[in-house]
Amino acid sequence: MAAGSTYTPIATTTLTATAGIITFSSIPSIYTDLILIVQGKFDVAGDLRYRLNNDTSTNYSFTILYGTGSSNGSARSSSVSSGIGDSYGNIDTTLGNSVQILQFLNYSNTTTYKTSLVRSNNASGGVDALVNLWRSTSAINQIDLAKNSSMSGTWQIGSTVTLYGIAAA
Amino acid sequence: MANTFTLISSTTVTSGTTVSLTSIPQTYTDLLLLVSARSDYTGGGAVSFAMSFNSNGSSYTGRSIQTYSATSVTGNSTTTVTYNGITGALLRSMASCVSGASTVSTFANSSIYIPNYTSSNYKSYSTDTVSEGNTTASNGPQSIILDAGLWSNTAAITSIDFGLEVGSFVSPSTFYLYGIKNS
Repeated sequence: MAAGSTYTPIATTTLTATAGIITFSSIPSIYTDLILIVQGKFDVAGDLRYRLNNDTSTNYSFTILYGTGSSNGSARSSSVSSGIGDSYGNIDTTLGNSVQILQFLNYSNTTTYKTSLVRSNNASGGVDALVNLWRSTSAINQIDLAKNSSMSGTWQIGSTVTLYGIAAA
Repeated sequence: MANTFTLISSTTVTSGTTVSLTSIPQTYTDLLLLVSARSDYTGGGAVSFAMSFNSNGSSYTGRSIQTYSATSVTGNSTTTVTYNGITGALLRSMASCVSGASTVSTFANSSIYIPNYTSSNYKSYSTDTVSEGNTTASNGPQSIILDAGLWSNTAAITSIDFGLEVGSFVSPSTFYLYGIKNS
């Protein structure tokens, strides 16, 4: 990748107060892909989940490959109301213990459903590779990040999420 | 436009058993390390690395999932190992080797992402490694390995050392270190 111009920080959120949802809105459609780097802390350990364009309908599905150190396997879920950012490589109650890397491919096109690839890591929980599908042809212009499928946990102070734009040219 | 994805250093090794990336600047948010490496070990199978931060040999933990014997999947916990004087986290199968059925010019490739490497939190990292040897032999180097790692240390990362498990590096094994800024 060429240095500089194709890997652009769009926005960074570092919480100075607890929050239920971290939102990136008004995402410009000028890039090819989006990358989210998440280093978070929850009130209680839980899974990172996301919704796109505030879509709360059951338009999401995902498949997971996971390893816990002592076991491994795969899982999937269809027609659910949020995408997933981790399974065993989840966010716990200590900053720095985990990192989730989400890539939204071809996010601004208005022809195809949207796929995201995720690598999530928690050294005491596990490691995951995930794929999500959002069944919408809309360009992604908003990402909401929260805990668990209920989207109802609490992000803790110091949690940091950065959104980057990757341009093909 | 801000230069937010910057090559910090490129290291090409033609022999030897260790690599040191030192004097890492503290001006970025995250680090991305891309490794292409091969060992000249002829005993078969794949060759691993020890990776240490700041020459510190303790407090490495992790979980991994990997293919093995060509068609099966297994999970492991990361242990601390010492290879060629480097004590650190075990990174499995980062250097393919010359087993009986592997392809001579095949190198393993790894991507290591280290977020917030200057913070005072513990340092987590994400590693993806792939190696393919055009063989179905159970002791071949072919593998896909995903690692979740943690260095339970609050120091900013200023250096990264690698020690090869067995054999010596084959030319050109490369280590490209990039810095990523979020502003």
